[in-house]
Amino acid sequence: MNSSTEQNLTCIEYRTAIDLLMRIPLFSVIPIEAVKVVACLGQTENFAAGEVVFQQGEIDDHAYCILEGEAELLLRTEEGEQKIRGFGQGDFIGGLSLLSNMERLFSLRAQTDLCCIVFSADGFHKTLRQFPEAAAEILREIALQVFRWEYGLLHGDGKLCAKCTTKVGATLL
Amino acid sequence: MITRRPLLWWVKSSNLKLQVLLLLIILITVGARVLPIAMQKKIVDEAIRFRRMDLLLLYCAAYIFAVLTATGLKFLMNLLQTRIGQEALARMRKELYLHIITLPLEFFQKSSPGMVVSSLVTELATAGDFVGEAIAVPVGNLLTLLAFAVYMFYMNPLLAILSISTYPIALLLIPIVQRKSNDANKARVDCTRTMSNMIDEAVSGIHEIHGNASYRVEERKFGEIVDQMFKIRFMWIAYRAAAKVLNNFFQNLGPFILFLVGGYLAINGRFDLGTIVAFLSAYEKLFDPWKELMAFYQLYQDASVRYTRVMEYFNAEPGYEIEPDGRAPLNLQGAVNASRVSLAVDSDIELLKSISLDVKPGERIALVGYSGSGKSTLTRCISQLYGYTSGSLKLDEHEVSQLSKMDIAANLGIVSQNPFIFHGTIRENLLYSWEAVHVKNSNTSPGEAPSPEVIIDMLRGVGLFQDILSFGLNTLLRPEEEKSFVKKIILVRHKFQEHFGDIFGRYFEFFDQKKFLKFSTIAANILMGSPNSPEFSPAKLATSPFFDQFMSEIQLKNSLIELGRNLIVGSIEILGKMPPDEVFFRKTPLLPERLEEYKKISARIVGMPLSAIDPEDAFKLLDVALRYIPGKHKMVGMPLILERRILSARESFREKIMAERPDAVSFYDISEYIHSLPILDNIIYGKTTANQPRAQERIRIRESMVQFLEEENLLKQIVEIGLHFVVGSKGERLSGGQKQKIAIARVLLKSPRILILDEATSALDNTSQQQIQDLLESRWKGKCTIITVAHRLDTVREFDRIAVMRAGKIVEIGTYDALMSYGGILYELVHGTKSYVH
Repeated sequence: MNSSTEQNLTCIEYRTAIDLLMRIPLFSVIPIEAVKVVACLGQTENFAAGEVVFQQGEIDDHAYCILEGEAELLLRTEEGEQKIRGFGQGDFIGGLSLLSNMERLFSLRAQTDLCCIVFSADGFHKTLRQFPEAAAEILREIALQVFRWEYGLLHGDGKLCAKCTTKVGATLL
Repeated sequence: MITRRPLLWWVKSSNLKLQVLLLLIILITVGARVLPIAMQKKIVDEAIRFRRMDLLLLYCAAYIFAVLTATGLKFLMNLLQTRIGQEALARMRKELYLHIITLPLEFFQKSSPGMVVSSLVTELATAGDFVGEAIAVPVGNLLTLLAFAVYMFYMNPLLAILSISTYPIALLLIPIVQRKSNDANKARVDCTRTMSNMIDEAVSGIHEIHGNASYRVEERKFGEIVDQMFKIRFMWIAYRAAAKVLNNFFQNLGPFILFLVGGYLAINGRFDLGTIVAFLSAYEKLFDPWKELMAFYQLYQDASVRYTRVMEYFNAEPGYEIEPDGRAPLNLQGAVNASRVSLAVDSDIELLKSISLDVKPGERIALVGYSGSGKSTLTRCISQLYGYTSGSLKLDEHEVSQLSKMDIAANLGIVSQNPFIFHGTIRENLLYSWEAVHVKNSNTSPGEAPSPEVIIDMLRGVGLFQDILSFGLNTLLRPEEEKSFVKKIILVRHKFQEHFGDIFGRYFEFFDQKKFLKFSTIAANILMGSPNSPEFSPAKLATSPFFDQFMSEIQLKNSLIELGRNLIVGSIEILGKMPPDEVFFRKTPLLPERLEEYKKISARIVGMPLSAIDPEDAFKLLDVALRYIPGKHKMVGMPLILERRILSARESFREKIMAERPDAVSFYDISEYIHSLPILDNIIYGKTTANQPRAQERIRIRESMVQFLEEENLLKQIVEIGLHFVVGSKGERLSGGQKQKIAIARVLLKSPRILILDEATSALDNTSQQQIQDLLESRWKGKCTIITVAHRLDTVREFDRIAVMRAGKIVEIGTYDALMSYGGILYELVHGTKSYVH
C-alpha cells in the first residue's frame, strides 16, 4: 500500500461517512441523528486486489460502502463463475443484510485494492430501535425499490425471457 | 433417602465422641454451678457471722474458682456444640444437595432455583443449630435444675415446693402458644418459598420487565407477597414472644411466694438469714437453666418445622442410581436399539409414538424433521435424560432405564443446542465431562488428566485454538508469576518487530520514545511506562495531585480539559439519544455506563469559558481526555499541535518522576517486561492498531503469529495461560459459537462410544461447522456411534442413514440418495426450504 492511500485511509472521519450515507437512497429517508449514529458505527476496512469481500452461500450480516477502488459481483453456478456487474466508489452493497440474516446469493471480490466502510446489522438494529419512525421510512423505501426493480424488469429495454415471466411477481409478495 | 430421615436422626449420627465429651463437661459444669451457692451460705453463716477472716478468704477463693471454671467450661461447651452442629449442617447440606441434583429433570420443571437456594442456604441452618444443642442443652439444664431443686429441698422442703409450684402451669400453657407459633412458622416457610420464586422469576425475566417497562406491575406483585409475609412474620414473632413472656411471668411469681413465706419464717426466727440469701440466690439461678430450656424448646420447634418442610418438598425419588451397584461402569460397543418406544406425558399426550430404530456400533444417523416432531425428545430418551413410558430402549443389550448414570456417562456424550458453561476456567470446562467419569467421588483426586498436547490437539480439532491463543495473548501477568517465560518474551521483541514490521506494519504500532502513539491513550503517551503506585493508574491519574501539578507546570492542563470538552460534547451530540450500549461507544473514550452523567456535564459546559468550569467537572473532562486513543476514538479528531506538546510533556514527565518519585513509574524499556500490559503488547512492544485486517489477511497474520510463537517456543505456554481464562458466570464472556465448541470438545475429550449432537453446531458459521464435520469424519468415524439432530439439511448427505420424524414417529429412514429418489418428506424438506431464505 502506497503512502498516499495510507494517508487517505487514516483521514476518513465519520463526516465522510455521513456524506456518503446521505447519498444512499436507503439512508436518505431517515433522520440525520440516526444517520450520524450509523456513520460512526461504520468501520473502515481494506481488501487487497483479488480478496473476497463476501462469499456466495455464506451468511453475512454486513453492508459495504466503497470509498475507493473497484469490486466485482460474481455468481457461481454449475457451469462456473460469471461476473454479474462491477461496483465502484460511492456504491452501497448489501443493505438488505442489515435488516435480516440472509445467505449471500453472490460473491463480491475486490478487483483493485479496495477500501470500504462496513456496517454491521447488530449496530444498525440497535440504532433503529431508538428511531422507530426511521424503520417505517426504510420499509417504505424498500417497497418502492422492489417496485421500481420489477417495473424496470417488466417494462424496461430488454425483453423478458419466456421462462422468466413465470417467476415474476416480487411486488405481489 | 435423606428426605425420609427425621431430624433426630442427625442427632444420633452426629459426632458421638464429641457428644460424650460434652456430657462430661456438662456434669462438671453443674457441679461448678451449685458450688457458689453453697459458698454463699458458708460465707454468710460461718465466715461473716464468726468473723473468721481465714474462712472468708478460703470460701471466696473457692467461689471465684467455681465461677472461673463454670465460665471456661461454658465457652468450651459452646465450642463443642457449634462444632457438632455445624458438622451436622455441613453433612445435611452436602447430602441434600447431592439428592436434589440427582432428582429427575421433570422435578425441576416444577420447582424454581430460588426455592432450592432458600432451602439449602437459609432453612436448614436452624436444624444444624438444633443438632448442636440437642444433647448438651436439655441434659445440662435439666441436671442443673435438678441439682438446685435437690439443694433447695435439702434446705427447706416446704419452701422448695412452694417456689416451684408455678412451673407446672407454665408447662401446660406454653405448648399451646407454641403450636400457634409453629403454624405461623410453617406459613412463613411457604411464604419465603413463594417470595424466592418470585424474585428468581423477576431476575431471570429482567429483559421482559425492561421491555414492557412493567416495573410497577412487578412492584405490586412483589408488594402483595411482602405484605403477606409481614403479617405472617408478625404473628410468628408475636406468638414466640408471648410464650417467652408467659414463661417469665410464672418464673417471677416464685420470689413473691419466697418473700412472703420465707420472710414470715425469718421474722419468727425459724430461719437464718444465710438460708434466705442462699434460697433466693438458688431460685434466681433456677431461672437461667429454665430460660435456656425454654429457648431450646423453641429452637427445636422452629428447626423441626423448617426441616420437615424442606424435606417434604424434596421427597422425590432420584431417577437413577448414580453408580452401578458392585461393578465397574459398563464398557459398551455403541449399539442403540429402540423397539416400540413411546413417551407420554400427562398420560395422554404422546411425544414419541412407538419408535423403532436399530443403530449399529459406529453408524452415523441423522434425525431430521419439522420442529416439535420429537427429534430432541428421542435423543434425550436415549441419553436417559427423559424416561420413556413404554417399549424397550437398549444400548448394546442393556435396557437404558436399568442402567446407572455412570454407565451412561462413561459411554455416551450428549451436546445440546444451548450448552451450559460453568463458571471457572476454560480448562475446567473442557475437562468437565472427563472428570465426571474419572473422578469416583468427591474425595479422590482426578486420575491422570488428558495431557496438554491432547487438549491442544482437541482445541485445534474443534476450531478453538485461535480463541484460546488470543485469550492467552490478552492475559496480564502478575510480577511474581511465570518469571522464565517473561524473560523469553523480552528476548523475542526485536525479532518480532523485524519480522512483522515489514509485512504487517500497518497493523502494529511499536513503542518509540520519540513518536506519538496514535493507538495508545493520551495518558500512556505521557507516562510511557507502567504505574507502580495506584496514584498513577489510569483510573486515578486525573485526580492525582502530583500529575495535576505537573500538567499545570507545563501548561498542558487547559489543553487537555479543552480536549475532554470536545470529546464529551462531540460524542454526546451523536450519541445523546442512544442507549448505553457498548456498540455505540467503540469510537469514543466515553464510558457507556456513565452516559447520563456525561449528558449532564455536556449540557453544563458547552460554550463555557474554561476558567468557569467547575473543578469536579474539570476532573471528568481530564479523565476522558487521558483515556482518549486518537487512532481508535475517531468520533472526535485530535488537534495536531497537541501531539507535539504531548511528546515534550513525555520528556518533562520522565525528568520530574526521576527527580521526585523515581519508584512510582517503570518506564517502558525494550529490555523489561511491562506488567500493566497484556502478553501480546509485550511481545509486540507496542499496540495493535485499529486497522482491521480482513479475511485472508487476518489468516495470514494469524498463521505468521502462530508460526513465530512456535519457533520461539512460546506457543504452548501461551495457550496454557489462555486455558486459564475465566469464562464468567454461565460463560458470559464467551460467544455462542465458543460455548458450542467447548461443549463439543468437553464431550469428545472423554471419548464416548455414542455421541449425540442435538443441533450442537447451530451457532457456528459454515466454516466452523465444516471443521467439526471433518473432525468427526477423520477421527471418530467407525469408532463412535453418532446420532445427530440436524437443523440444516445440507449437512446430512454424508450420514449413513437419515431418519425423518414427524409427530413423534419415524416416517422415513434410509440413505440420503434413497430418500431423495423416493420423493417423500425429506425431499419435501430439502426442496421446501430451498425456496425460502433462512
